[in-house]
Parts: sequence; structure tokens; C-alpha cells
Amino acid sequence: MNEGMFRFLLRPEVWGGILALAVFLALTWWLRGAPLGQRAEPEEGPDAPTTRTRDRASLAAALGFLAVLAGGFTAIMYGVPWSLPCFALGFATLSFLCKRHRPSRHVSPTLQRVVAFAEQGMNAALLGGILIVANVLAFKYGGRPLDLTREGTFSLSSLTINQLKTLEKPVKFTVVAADIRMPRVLQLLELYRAENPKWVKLERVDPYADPTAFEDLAKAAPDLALNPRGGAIVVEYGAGETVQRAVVRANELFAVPSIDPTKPRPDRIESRFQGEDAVTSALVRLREGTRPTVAITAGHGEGPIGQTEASQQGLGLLVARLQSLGVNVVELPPGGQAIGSDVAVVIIAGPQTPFSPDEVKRFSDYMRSGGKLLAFLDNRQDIGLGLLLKAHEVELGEGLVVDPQLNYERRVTIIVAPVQEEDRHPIVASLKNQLVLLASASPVRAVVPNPSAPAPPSAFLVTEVLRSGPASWAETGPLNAAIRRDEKDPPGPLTVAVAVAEKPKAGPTEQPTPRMVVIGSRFVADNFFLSREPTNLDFVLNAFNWLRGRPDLKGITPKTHVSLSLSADPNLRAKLVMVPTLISVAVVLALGIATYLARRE
Amino acid sequence: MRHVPALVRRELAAYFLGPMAYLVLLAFQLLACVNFVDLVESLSRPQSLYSAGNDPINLYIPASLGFWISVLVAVPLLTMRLLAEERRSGTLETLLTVPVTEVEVVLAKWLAGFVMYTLLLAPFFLYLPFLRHFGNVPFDWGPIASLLIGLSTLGLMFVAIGLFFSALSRNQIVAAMATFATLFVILVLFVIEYGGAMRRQTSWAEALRYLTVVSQVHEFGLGQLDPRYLALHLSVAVFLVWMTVLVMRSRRGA
Repeated sequence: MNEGMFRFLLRPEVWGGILALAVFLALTWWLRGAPLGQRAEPEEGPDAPTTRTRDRASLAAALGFLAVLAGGFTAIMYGVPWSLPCFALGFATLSFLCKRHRPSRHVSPTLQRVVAFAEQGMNAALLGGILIVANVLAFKYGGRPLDLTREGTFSLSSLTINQLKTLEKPVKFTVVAADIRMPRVLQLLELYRAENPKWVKLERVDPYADPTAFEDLAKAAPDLALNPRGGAIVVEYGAGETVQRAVVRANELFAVPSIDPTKPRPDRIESRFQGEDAVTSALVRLREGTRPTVAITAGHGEGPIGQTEASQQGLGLLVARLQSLGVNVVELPPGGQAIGSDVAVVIIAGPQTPFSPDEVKRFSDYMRSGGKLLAFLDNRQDIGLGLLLKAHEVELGEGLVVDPQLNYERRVTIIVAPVQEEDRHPIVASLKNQLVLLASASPVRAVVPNPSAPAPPSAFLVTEVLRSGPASWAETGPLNAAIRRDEKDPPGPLTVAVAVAEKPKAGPTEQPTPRMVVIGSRFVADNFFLSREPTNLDFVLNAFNWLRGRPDLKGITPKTHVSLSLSADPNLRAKLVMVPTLISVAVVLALGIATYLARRE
Repeated sequence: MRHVPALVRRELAAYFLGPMAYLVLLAFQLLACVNFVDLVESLSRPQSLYSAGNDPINLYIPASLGFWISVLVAVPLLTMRLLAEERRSGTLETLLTVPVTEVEVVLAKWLAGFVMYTLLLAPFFLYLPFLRHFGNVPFDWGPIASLLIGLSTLGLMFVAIGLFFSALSRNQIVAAMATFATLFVILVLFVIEYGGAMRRQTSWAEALRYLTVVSQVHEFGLGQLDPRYLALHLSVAVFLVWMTVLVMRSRRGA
């Protein structure tokens, strides 16, 4: 058999035709009382219809029913409009048969069968048609599935949904799958596709099973440095010559706490899936097209930006995340050179030595020209930025914030600042009920104008975005083993981060312009704390996006999956199995015996 | 419809007055026990999974071959006698002489079959509260609820299929075989066809996935409750129940 014939036989129309022929033969046999080609038995009685009439009625009923079935088939294969003539023909034939032969059904068993079949066939076809149409419409246009999981596995954030709904070019996600985490990634990308199936395509490339496809992908994006071992997602935006690509690597998608092999394995392990944040960020970056520049101060004791080891002091993890968001990160070396107008945000990343007057002046000039500042500062050392902060109506408070209740591993100077449910500021709105780790934190507060001295009207709006726990205080005395709050120590909760926005000059209808975020800990974005508490990274990135004027790009809350284990000894395991089994078996046996005895009596 | 509760009670009594229902329940209990032992063993191994997709609790029922085989066998056994036996023994005619309609009779038999199906599933869920409270495994109830809802609507569809074949035949064995064959096609062949379509990336893949019952139940088990699947199950069930009524009417007319 040649290939053409084989392909022809595989066509659904051929199978449909064969099936229709079989149905037709079976129906006519049943309705006539004899197979086609064999004469049907004559019917007795003076008013009995002729064999010819009965045959014609049987054939018409079978053909009418087949026309209805053909309508259904055509609707599925070629669309509803093409099916309408088939449906019309089928229903017209069956209706005609009912009307024509109903008066004679009592004198002929064949016509009785034909009429009953035509009536019930029409009823069934009508009900079936309604149900099929309803299901097809539900399949094509039905809403999203309900997500009943605690984790929110099957839900996307409003940011992602908005991005996907407003796509103007095709997006293709190619999952370079290589490890066990990829099913979770595919699950996520299926949700992306379901949101906009017209524009979003999803493919999967296994670098080991299909090396050619993998090489083609690597050639198309040579600068992506794909790492097939860990897996990655290639995001392609657009088509043809203008297609843009970005890569999200697997290690950006998951945050899993390290497990100490020397300790007993915990019975529940929380892994955080940041895939939606990473993929949506990549998509936003491709859609925006431009790369904003961020300058990070250096030369004053800040952590190195190239250091990505979690155990080492540095800013490498923050920088890597900013770069994955499409941000061009540069160092701002010591000196008095002016900060370029192309710098979107300057990050003062925890300096330990004072800035020179020239350096302070360049910050002031930059801020006067409309610049944005993200500062990680504490009051351990006067670094010379007091006046700049005051000019923006912010100052660092006195003392070291300590918290004997909410802290990291009982170290009272590393406080845990909870994001409250009622916090509405864009920087923390997506982080509700999460925790930010702050080491050696200082209070940050809005400058209170002196009531005795006349002051110009306030130009800035200072908003608290993060505060310490209710049991905390600012320790103004020396730290010793028996740390206790004195009368002069300001009690908590204390503000430890503020956002400063410039009030609009035009009028109340204008929106305030974000200008500065001050976080009262120079370690907030340090590798150590980012690796211990991923919310720190979300918090800093949200602050950065708010300053950029893109609060819509607020971080998407990671999905936390808890892997549960059963830590039970063999005795408890046996009880877990046997107790319910024995109870159930006893109940069934008791009911059975009771029924048997009752019936016997 | 006021006769339906009484007719349902009659059908359930027919199940439980003989030994068969108790034996089938015990068999299902044994099967559920074996399935639960597997779950306990899986959970006792260290878990460090990244998603609920591979969580042993979520796969406890949808990925259990024993569960599917038992459904494949139990539904034909439950439904084969519903109408075929009444026709064979001639009690259907007696039943239809009393003032009840065909719709009431069919609805009552369908609901009674569904109640039995639900009772057979109960042992699978019986262990979970024990696991949560005494085993201290605080699993998510959402996927379990989703699975319960999905399996219920699926049961309504499966029982309607069995009832329809039971109405078509006077012979219980024929009805059971036809139901078994239909469920086999729905459960097994669609999986194969869906796998092939996925590999070939055909446009039918998505539609086949929509129709593949095993895939639907897997999604229910993950906590993804798709109302379209529920609508599909209920549509098929309503259609087949209506077809059963038509068959009954045509028999009465004949």
C-alpha cells in the first residue's frame, strides 16, 4: 500500500463514512425487519402499507438520522455554518416521516418503528446537539479553572494577566527541560498559554533527546549562554527578523533552603517558586525594549557587586536579579564626577566610610535634576548624607533597633520586620504577611518641623513602608548580654524604611513623583540576607520599581510549596493503616450480618 | 418526581438485601488499604519536591492503577442489573403498571447506582483524616475537595452509561460487557490517543486532553477544578439518562 493510500485511509472523513455506512445498514435492517437486498416480510391487514412504502419510509428514516449525525460531524470538523444544511435536511426528513406515517402506525409494525425512531431520534439529537454546542462553547470560551490549592498553584497575578491580555506580538516560551523542577515550570507556562492562547505558544526542548533543536535554539540566541544542565526558559517576543529573546535560568525560579546534612531531615520542606515573577519580568523587559541604568556606589566599604556567594558579603545576588530584569548595572566610583542623566536610580548600598563633600554634592545635584535614590543606611557611622536626607524631609533616628521577639536565630540585633496586612504602599502591597530581615537596623523617620520656627511648606510626602515588631525598641545604650529597654530608649514599633515622593506642583490632581527610598539597614540587600530571606530581594526590587515609576512591576509573591513527609515509627504507620481498615470492615460486616439475621427472621 | 425517593430506597434495598454489596464493599476496602499503604510508604521517604504535581497525596487516587481497574470493573457490575434484570424477570412491567413514570424509574435507578458508587469510593477517603490528625501530615484539603467533586460528577456519567446499556439489553452480561467496553475506551484508549496527539503536536491534542478522563481526574487531584469538565460529565449523564427514558418509552410503546 503506497503512502498516499495510507494517508487517505487515516483521514477522519473516511472513518466517518465507514461508520455512517455501518449505521445505515444496521438501521435499515432493524427498521425494515430485513437486511438490504432481502425482501421484507409482507404485513397482513386490509390497510397495511405496501412493501415499497415501508421500505421507502425505513430508508428515509435511516438517511434522515444520518444527516443529523453528519451535521454534528461537519460542525466539529468544518464549523457550525457548514453543518446547518445537514441538520436542516435531517430534521426535515424525520419531521416529515412523523407527520406522514403517524396515522398509519397502528396498521403496520414497520411504520410504528419508523415513527417511534423518528420522534425519539429527533428528541435525542436535539438534546445531544444542545449539549454538544454548550460543551464546545464552554471548551472554546470557558473561564479559567477554579484554583482550590492553598499554594495558589493555578493562579496568576493581575500583573501577569494584564501583560498577557495586552500582548501585541506573539510570545513563545521554550522550556529547555533538564531536571525534576521543570514540570512546575511547564505547569506555570500552561497557565500563561491558557490566558492568551492566540499569542502565547509553548514548546519544550530536551537537550539530550533532541540535541539538534537545542543547538538551533542556542544558535538563534548565542549570547544567552544556555546551561542545559540546570534548565532554562527562552522567552521570544515578536516574530521574524524583529524577534527579541531573553533567558530565565532555572536557578532564578526556585529558592530552596539549604538543608544541614548533619541534622535530622525536617518532615516539611518549604520551597519557594518565583517562576511567575521571573518570567513576567522577562516578558515586561522584552516589551519595554529599553534598558534602564542603575548606579551602585562603591569605594566606601560597600559589598562587591561581583560576589554572588551567599556566604560572602556582597551585592552579587541583587545585581544578578537586576540584570535578569534587563537593568544595566554600573558602579559609581568614588570622586566628584557628575552622575549621568541616563542613570535611572542610584543605590547607596550600605557605605561604611563617609562620602567626601564633592561626592555629597554630586548626589545633591543628581537629586535636584530629578534623580531617584535608593539608600541602605544606618546610623553607626556619619557618612555625610544627613543634609541630603533632611532636604528630603527624612532623617535617621537614634539607637540600634533590637527585638527580643521577632528576630533571626535569637540574635536581637537582626530583627524581623513583618509586612502588615493593612500596608497599602506599592512597595509592600504584594508582600503582605511576609518578613524582611534587617541587621543592625536604625530607625528612619520623617523630619518633624520645629513648631517655634517658621518653616516653608512641605515639598515631600514621606510614607512609612516598613516597621519593626511591637516588642522592639531602639537601644541607645551599649549592648550587653542582658539587653533591656531603658526609659530613654524609644519603644517600638519603629519605622525602619520610608518612601519619599515629591508633592506635585501643578495641583492636587497630579500624582506625587517617587524620589527616594531609605531603608535603615545597610545589610538589607547583602547576599547573606537575600539567601536567608527571599522577601528581602522582593522588597528591594519593589522599592526600585516604585522609584522607576513602575509600581505595576511590583514583585509577584512567590508560591510556597510545602513538601510533607510522614515522620512516624513503624508502630504508628501500622496503626494509621490498620485502625481505619478494621473500623470500616467491622461496620460493613456488622451491617451485613444484621441484614442477614433480620431477613432470616 | 415525588416517587423518586421511594424508588431509590427500593433500589438500594435491592443492593443491600443480598450479600453482593457487602462483598464488593469489603473488596474495595481491601484495595483502598493497599493503596493507602503505598501512600504511607511514599510519604515516609524524604520529600523535597518543588510542586504539588508530584506530591504523593495528590497522586494517591488519580495515579492509582488499582483504583481505575476497580472503577472499570465495579461500575458495570453495579449497573448491569438495574434495568436488564427487571426486564428479564418481568418485574419492570409490574413496576410500570403502578402510577410512576419512566422518568421517575430511570432517575431513581440512576441515583441509586450513584449512591452505591459513592459508597465504594468512601474507603479511599476514609484514611485521610487519620493521616492528617494522627500522622501529623497537614496536607491541603483543597485538592481533596476538588477530587471529590470531580469523581462525583464522573460517577454520575459512568453510572448513566451503565444504566443506558442496561436498558438496551435483556441480558445482564451483555449490558456489563458493553459498559465495560465503553468505559475502557473512555479510560484507556483516550489516554493512548492523547499521548500520540501530544507527540505529534496536532490540533486535536487539546481537545483530546479535554475529553480524557484520566487527565481530568489528575487535574482534579491537583486542586484544579475545571467547571468545563463538570459540565461535560453532567451533559453526558443527562443525555444518556434521557436516552434511557426514550428506550423505556419505546419498549412500553412496543
